[in-house]
Amino acid sequence: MLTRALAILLLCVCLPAGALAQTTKLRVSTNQNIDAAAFEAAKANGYFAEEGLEIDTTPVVGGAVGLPAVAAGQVQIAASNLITIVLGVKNGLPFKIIAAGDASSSAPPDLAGVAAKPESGIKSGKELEGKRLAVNTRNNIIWMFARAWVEATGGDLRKVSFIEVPFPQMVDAIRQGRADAAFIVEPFLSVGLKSKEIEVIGWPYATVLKNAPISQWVASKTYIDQNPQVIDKFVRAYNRGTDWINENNRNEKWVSLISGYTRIAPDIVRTAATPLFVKSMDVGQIEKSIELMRKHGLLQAGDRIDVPGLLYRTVASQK
Amino acid sequence: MKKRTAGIVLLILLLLLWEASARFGWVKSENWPTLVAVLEVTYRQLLSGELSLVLAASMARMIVGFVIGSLCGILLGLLLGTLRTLDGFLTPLVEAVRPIPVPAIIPPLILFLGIDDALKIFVVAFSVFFPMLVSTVGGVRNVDETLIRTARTLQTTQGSILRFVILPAALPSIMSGFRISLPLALITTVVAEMIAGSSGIGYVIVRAQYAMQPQEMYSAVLCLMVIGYLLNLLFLLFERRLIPWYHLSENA
Amino acid sequence: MRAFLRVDQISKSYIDGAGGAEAKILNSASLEIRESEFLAVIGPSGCGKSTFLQIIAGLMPPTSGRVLLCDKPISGPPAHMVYLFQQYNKSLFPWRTVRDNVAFPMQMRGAAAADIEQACRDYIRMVGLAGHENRYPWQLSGGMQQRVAIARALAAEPRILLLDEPLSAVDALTRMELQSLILEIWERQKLTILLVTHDVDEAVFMADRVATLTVSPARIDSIIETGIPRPRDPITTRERPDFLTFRRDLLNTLLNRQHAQIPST
Repeated sequence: MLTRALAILLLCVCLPAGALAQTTKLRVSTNQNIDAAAFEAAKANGYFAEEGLEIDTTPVVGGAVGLPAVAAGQVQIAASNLITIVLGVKNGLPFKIIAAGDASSSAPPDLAGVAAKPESGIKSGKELEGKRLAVNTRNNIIWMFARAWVEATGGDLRKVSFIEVPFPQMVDAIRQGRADAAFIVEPFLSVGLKSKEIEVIGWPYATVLKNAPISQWVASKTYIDQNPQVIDKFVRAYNRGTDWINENNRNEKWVSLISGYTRIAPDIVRTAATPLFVKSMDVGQIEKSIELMRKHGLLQAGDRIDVPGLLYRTVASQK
Repeated sequence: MKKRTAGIVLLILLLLLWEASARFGWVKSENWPTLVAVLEVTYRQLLSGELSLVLAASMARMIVGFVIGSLCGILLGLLLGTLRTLDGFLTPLVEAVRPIPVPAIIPPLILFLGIDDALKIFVVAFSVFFPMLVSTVGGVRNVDETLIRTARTLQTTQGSILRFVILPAALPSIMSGFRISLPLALITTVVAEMIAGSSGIGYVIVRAQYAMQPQEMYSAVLCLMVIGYLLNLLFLLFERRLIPWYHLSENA
Repeated sequence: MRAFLRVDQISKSYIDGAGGAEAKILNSASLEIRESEFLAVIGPSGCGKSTFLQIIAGLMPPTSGRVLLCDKPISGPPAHMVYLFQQYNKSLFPWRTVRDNVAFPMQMRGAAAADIEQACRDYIRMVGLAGHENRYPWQLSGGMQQRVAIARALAAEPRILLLDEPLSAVDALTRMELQSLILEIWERQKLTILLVTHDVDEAVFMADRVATLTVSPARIDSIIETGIPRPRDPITTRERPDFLTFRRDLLNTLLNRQHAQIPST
């Protein structure tokens, strides 16, 4: 009853505008970091508008409220990282990935690296035994890859303590000795490297899983089922944004777009390493990520994840 | 007056220390700008009106949440303070819910309240509610029995006793609850905006951190300090008008 | 003579919180108060005088027995009966000025603002506080505060005034002044006053009749009618032989020295 009344009300409000052009309002939650570059490009270049979509961005910084907001129907589409998405699906929240976001590169320099003081002598997971390694949040993607890297480089996980430090404070934490090393993302990594007080000792993504899926765009199954054509339009426009980002890689337009929405100074944007912006996802890569999740206790043996079912048809998948 | 001068001198010394520590590299960090740079940004943003908009959005949330939370706290406090039987029911619940930190309740609350103003206003009201409740109950319990008996012998009805005797007698305690919850409301507003951002001063602080614009972050922090100070000043003026008898009698 | 106010065998016991033992404060105390009389009840400290008076005022239910006002049993504070507390500093509303304290009972019964204004002026003048209307209670001396309490009690238009050691916390000179003030008001307003006190001198000086409460559990032991002529004078009345006799006899009773040898004057 109430929904019908609301629908009628919405119809009335939208009618005059709708008479001119069929616009659909979409509320999208994004982390305003580099991961959102393709989305911001599509927005800035009017690709969404051309599809008849009016995008209302709800920027979230450093937080993890995007998925709950999708689950609550507060926003229709949100960006999140693969680990968080899989954990949500495991907990029965019906998310589907509608667009591939970005992935780590296959060779350094990557979008994130483990750094330590040069004079510390720490070069691998082995030397981190008995030391503190900083991650942004426990039980998430950075933490998981940091653990996998420690193991892959000969460290005993039981002997390394993981501490939580927000990304912006990681370089300071190493400087002040509160952490012995940290898994730092860009642009904090390259700015820290400039001071020569820290150096990269490892590239966990490249070491553990090349081209690891990082961030994806998600909608709820309910919304997708009710609005398949809206999703099609969104992804079409989004993928054009991805193309634009890849075609304009690091030219001045690219720098000013990213600097504009992230508010990061252009000089920093220019020197920071960036992820790969992709239009398709490799099912095998997702399975490997899920395998890592099981290994590091984020998923239990009994948790079944239907990987192909995670991907909506708008995400091109490779086997 | 002398005390205040000393306080200002200390504040200025600390600000000078800040400037020097950043300018001469005593503190080395990309996150530690000079005071001058911070003031410059503040000035620029004040001129452009950007900062005022951000502050106004936060203040509006804070005030609405504060009013709702404190009204609920006072009303339930009057009820709990006067009706002892209800006390047994509610006190355990109140004591259990009270220590829950705001960041912990935000993600589940999003499911019910979304990520917009309703959520932020709710958490502000939530954080204000408990100190108001506790100080109101305390105030009501501490009303001297003689005062209530006096009112009864002067033919005052139960309702009038609540309104004309218990409420004014509990007012100093309620005001002390206000004093605790006012800065709390400000802090909670900022924390809520930090977590479920997209607008307001809390969002600006986190965004500036992630954008490596520390001078912008500290400019927001400076504004918060000034707001906190002004709120307290405003509160004291308000309190002096509302319960002048209390302060005068304390000094008598 | 028909009793105006009759206290009919009231008893009061408390269950002692810790031990669970029953403590009996009053043991079927009875008393009859005539209209327009000044009756004093004396007893040593802690004998249950306040309890006795609060039960009469309807502020506290008795364990057994009843209180009848004009033959009707009371439950709760009856109209036209006002209780004046010993702790005037705790019974005045600290957030109200002198004037507003006095206005309180009139506001409670919904009197018109103009009437309240006039009545406040009258009552405040009656207790000698003209010029202090806008001061707060804590800006006044103890004696002045009790005057405010008296004015406020009068504003409730009582026929019966219950005084619970109202003057025990003020200095001796102020006490004498207030005793005269209360007597003056009593005569002018045709009040019935029941005064509870441990001060024998005060009881004999002010009252028509003096009742004695025995120690725990308290009951009314004896009642004497003094017949000391009025108006009473704070100095000369106290020098009268009959005043001194009553005073001595009552003190003997209270100090339990009936059998002691005291040289008679």
